[in-house]
Amino acid sequence: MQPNATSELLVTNIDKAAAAVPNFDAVVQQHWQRVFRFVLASVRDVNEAECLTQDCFCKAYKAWNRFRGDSSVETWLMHIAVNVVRDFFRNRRLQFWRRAPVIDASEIGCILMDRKLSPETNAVVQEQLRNVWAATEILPTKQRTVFLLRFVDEMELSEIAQVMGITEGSVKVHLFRAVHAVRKRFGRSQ
Amino acid sequence: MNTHLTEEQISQYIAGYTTGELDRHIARCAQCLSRLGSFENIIGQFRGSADDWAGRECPRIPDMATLSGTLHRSRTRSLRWIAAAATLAAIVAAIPAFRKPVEPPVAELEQSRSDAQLLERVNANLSQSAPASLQPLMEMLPPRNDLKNEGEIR
Repeated sequence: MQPNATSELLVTNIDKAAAAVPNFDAVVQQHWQRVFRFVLASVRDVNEAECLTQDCFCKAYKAWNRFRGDSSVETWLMHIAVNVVRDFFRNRRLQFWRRAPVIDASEIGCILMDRKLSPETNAVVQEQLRNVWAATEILPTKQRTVFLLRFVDEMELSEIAQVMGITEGSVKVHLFRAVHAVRKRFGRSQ
Repeated sequence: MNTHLTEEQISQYIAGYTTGELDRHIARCAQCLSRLGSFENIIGQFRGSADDWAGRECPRIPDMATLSGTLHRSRTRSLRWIAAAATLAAIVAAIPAFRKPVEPPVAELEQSRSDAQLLERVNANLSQSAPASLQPLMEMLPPRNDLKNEGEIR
């Protein structure tokens, strides 16, 4: 037997199973960008975000048969993404030797340059953006997740509750705390 | 509501705790509306920056073959963990079989033996009626019973 025959066999089996899931390629194509954006905004590390997004789709693929269709595919994928991000932060807390430096909030703030605004206004906006990114960085994981789902993914509160597996009341509480913390920081820069 | 909304009330409103009173105040009060507007504006910029960043950094959407590779890697990784855990369990289970009964070290045994001998010698010395230097003289004396008999005769 060849040394890598087992792994080849495994990949072939997975490929065969992939054919059994209808249009999973299309699911990946359709939702990749959104899941990646949420994961990237959460972990702030491009390489980690890419790996975690792949993990998320792998998990979705493996659990495809268990998807009952109670929610949309998008909500289901975001639910998996939220869990993947939560596990990432949990593991990172334990694996202190693997902690990679995440991107600085000031770098993200510089990404957006609105050409319609004057340089002075742009500078003010950049400063405010940096503060919002910096404020979200130090939020507890649940508060940050709610904040990102609400304001980056523009989800409704009921949808966030479904994605996170908590009640709508809890979503409001987490969102209120997150907004208050971010506004405190934002208010200081005004 | 005559006064303006507090920071907390504005945060509550943004978080979705809306009441008729809050709604009415925001509809009438230009200052509170502007505070709310400035936050919504910066949140819009925040969303734009997140979009822009993800758009720039997202390299290409992987096809099923790439994902299959990831699946394979994750399975291999979990198999490796299972193998490591099994090895560890086997080692832990084997430890009692190779464990010998704990014996005191040789040096300690020697020490206690010599202590016992020393104590015996001390006891023997103490039980003697005269010190060791006077022992030859004591041997020259008759036994005590003889002395007693001599006295009685006198």
